[in-house]
Amino acid sequence: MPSPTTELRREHSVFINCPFDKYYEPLLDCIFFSTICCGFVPRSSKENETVSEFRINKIKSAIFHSKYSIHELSICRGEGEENLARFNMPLELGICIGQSRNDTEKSVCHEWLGLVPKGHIFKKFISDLSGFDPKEHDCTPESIVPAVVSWLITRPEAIKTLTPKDILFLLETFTKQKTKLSEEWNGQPLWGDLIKCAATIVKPNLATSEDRF
Amino acid sequence: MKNVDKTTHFLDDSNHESNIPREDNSGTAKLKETITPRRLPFWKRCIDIFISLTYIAVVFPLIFLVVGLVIKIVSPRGPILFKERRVGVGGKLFNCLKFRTTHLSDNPAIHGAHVKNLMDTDAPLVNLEDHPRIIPFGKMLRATGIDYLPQLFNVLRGDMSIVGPRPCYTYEKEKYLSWYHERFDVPPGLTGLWQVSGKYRLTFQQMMRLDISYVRNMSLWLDIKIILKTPLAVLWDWNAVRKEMIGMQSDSSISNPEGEMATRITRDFKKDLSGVFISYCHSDRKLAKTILDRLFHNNISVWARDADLKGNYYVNLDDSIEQAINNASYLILLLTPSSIKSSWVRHEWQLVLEKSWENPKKKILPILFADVAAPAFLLDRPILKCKSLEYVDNILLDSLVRIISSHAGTVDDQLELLSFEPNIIKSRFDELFQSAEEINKLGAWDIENA
Repeated sequence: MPSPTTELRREHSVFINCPFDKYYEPLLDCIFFSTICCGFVPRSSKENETVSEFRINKIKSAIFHSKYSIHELSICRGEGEENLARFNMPLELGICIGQSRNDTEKSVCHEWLGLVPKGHIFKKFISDLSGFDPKEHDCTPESIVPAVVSWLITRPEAIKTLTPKDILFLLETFTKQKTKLSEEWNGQPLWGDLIKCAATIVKPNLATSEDRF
Repeated sequence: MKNVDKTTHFLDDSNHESNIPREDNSGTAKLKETITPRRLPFWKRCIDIFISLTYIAVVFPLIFLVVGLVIKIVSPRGPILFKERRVGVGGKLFNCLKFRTTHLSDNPAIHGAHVKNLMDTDAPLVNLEDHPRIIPFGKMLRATGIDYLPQLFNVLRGDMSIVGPRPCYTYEKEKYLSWYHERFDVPPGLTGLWQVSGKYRLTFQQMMRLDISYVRNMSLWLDIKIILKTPLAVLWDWNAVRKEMIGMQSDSSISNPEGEMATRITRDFKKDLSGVFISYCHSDRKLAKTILDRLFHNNISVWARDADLKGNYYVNLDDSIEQAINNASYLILLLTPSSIKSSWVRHEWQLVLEKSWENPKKKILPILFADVAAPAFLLDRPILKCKSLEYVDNILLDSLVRIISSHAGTVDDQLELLSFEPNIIKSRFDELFQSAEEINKLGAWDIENA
């Protein structure tokens, strides 16, 4: 597997840990688009569609090349006829927390943000996160975008960005263009193309943002 | 001893209930089945006996004479001392001695209702000081803690200890959540962590956390610290009552005992919804105090996180910060070399930003010190600049006061717009496009290598 070049700067990369199902797509879109708005590159296992690599290796690679990560932890109940729990999200969170422990070494330090459903139920299904202040949301873009933007924009590498209200407005344009891209690529648009699509929408708006005082 | 996870214990009532054996709230008999009192260390009993005996032998006779005389003069009906049923170690009831500070006709139901209200609302634990049930000088006796001195006999008997959780009323215990019962593991105390950490300015939940924190972290050193801090806490309480009695306004020029800054700040932000929140790094607390004092001097109420509260005693700082930000009209951010590196401060920025988005009337007032690069979210915003960290000049302080006092909603003359470099955005987006290309190549790797 190729190692990322200097273009993929670790301190500008944010690993996104979010379910990729259709049902959770709006959440993923919010996190993805907000990340671009703050000047960061979203990373995930989806970025590398190669079949000759184990999925966990793709995940590890994306995490190890990201200084930041965002974890959407809404799935907490059993699914399907067998009522099975999905461990993918907590597993990836675990890898990130493991990496963040190494924060004495600047080159590998890692910071993460947890997003959990409103109502403090996370203290029951993932009580070990108590005290880490995961951000609560009600699965709406209006609650997810501010949570993600407020966290990313206070990181040292962030760039000046739009208000969540402006981002929510532009998000609609992004989802429309994403749908078009998906149709072109048979439902599987390239991750890099999605980044380009979002960046094309955000860039001109950033330059003309008004004074917000 | 119960084996309960510490973190969840404090955060979620439902978790406590699942972890701790359930009790119905019927009283002591049931409680005895679930609480096994901790075996107290020998040193604690030694301290209790030594201090209580010394006081009883040396100071108490004189105090009893003077206070007894005063009580008999201002309220001739009724005894000097009175006994009150309180819940002690392991849930056992005992007779707690006190100097009488209320009239004989006092109805305990009034106090019971007051306690219930405080528990339900989680408001600061204010006393019913202004109630007509209090005898003249009763308020003073309470503020100075003199009314508790007969409890030294309880300490000598072993019902109580010098340091421990606040002795709980029987009707108060009936309303306890199950996790509160851990405070009955040790004998109640004459003084304690709650008394020296803010006392009546804290809420019921905060008191419970402090008491349980003490039970878990009990040590000789902690007891000594609490005993040494008690006179300061009493002084502060007395000072507050004295000011109230003579109608003094708060004046920042009065020298403060330790902890007064936090105390006053907390109290002010509770009653004033148009105050100021100040975010600073612990190492910049002197600087923050300079700004606070100036704002106080101009009758502007400020809430600031005090380092003494942070983390030490399980006070839920996060909640109080959020509440303070909610209540504040102005959110001052001190941008110094230390604060921009602090993850805690970044967390505060995050909350500040979110609240300012929710309510655009809240104004962020960043104060930038020389040689500090402003974080991205402040670019293109009005900002106050200061030449150096050591020297906060009067011009800056005056303009800060002027902006806040006049509730200026527009950019002030003293404020500068922090310019941002459009080139930074351009170069970052160029990088984003290049990264996107690189990422697309990752997917093509196996095809190229097939």
